[in-house]
Amino acid sequence: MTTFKDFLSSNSEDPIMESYSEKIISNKLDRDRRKKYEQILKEEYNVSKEEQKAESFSLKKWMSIAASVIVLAGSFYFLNQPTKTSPKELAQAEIAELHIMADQSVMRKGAADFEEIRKQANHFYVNGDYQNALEQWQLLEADQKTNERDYLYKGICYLKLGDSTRALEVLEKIESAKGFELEWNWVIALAHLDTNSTDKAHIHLSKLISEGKYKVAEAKQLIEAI
Amino acid sequence: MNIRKATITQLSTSEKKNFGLEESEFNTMLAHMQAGDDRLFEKVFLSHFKDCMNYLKNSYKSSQSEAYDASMDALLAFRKRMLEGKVKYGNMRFLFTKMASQYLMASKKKSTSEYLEIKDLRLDDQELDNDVMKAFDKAWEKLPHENKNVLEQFYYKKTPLKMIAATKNITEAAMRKQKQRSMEKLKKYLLEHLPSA
Repeated sequence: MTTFKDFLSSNSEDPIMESYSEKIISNKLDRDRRKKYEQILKEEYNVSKEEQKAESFSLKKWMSIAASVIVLAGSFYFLNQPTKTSPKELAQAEIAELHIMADQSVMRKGAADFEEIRKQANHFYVNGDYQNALEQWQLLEADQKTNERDYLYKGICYLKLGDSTRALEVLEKIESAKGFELEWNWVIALAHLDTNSTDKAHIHLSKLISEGKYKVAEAKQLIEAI
Repeated sequence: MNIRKATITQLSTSEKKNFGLEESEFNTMLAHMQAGDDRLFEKVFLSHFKDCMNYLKNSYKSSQSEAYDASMDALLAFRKRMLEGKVKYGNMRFLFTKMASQYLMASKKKSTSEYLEIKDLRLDDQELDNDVMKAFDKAWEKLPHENKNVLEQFYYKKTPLKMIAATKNITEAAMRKQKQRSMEKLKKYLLEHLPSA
């Protein structure tokens, strides 16, 4: 078996030594590449090897804090009811996360002029400029060129801008949203929660759970909160 | 190049199977990689890294770190296979997750004959202890760019000497000597940095 010492002392180019050279150089360059990927994953995608460990530490930390709070509450006994995050607060937290969907927006095909406006709208939308995105979609709507997907994204924009009532008005126009029913159910559920219409939100969240494909865990969590 | 970013419901079946890429985009990505530009590959694959990890965690009940390592091993191996022309446009998502699953199985020591095919792809760090790897890092850093380039082209990218020689406008024999000199220089620097040297 070739060892590292053999590698250092040999000057030959026999296949075994060449294979070892390849292995040791590849090892070095793969390690470098791995480090680079690790850095990108951490900085750009918030993915790291120790994520779960961090989460469990965080959970322990929160449990400790919760225990301290309970002890303190017991001491003063005027805090006799546990605090509960309201559905509206949970919905707002989820609305803040909706950028994931926005980042995955795609340019779609259509008539040239309208396509350009739609591209602009998508561009603003993907970059989180919801006000400008809405203005572009208003132009399409004025020309009756708004399609169902535009309405979905418009609804998200209104949610992002904190106008759930307008979001609902837009989202309710596309009840038969073909191809993105699950996303629509999720977004409209958040809009209903944000306007405290928990019964209506429940209907859409239940649909997501029964479909079992999209935002199932999140939907269950929200239903529990309701 | 326009990197398509789409919700899963907006993609065609073949795009879904290929991380949102159309065949022409896949070919462009491959051409860029072969020219030494990995940016598109990194964007596409690193953006799906978490999906792969989640698949491993859900399907095999693996831990975060196990899923991370297996996905990373698969990513490095997948890249190599792409450069070797062994990955075609078809169902990259399936191939990638399958490869990651195999790395995970191997790491869990459930290795049986069905997983032997990945052994040649694994980094075999056991033979190289930390001191050697640190020395190698220092030696490599010290090595002039030209020498690094030759060794990387030949041993890592597996470019034939004849082709490397052609890009440098020298003969194959001259290229071979340059490669030998680069390797000698690397070994010399290695010896300087090894603790026992």
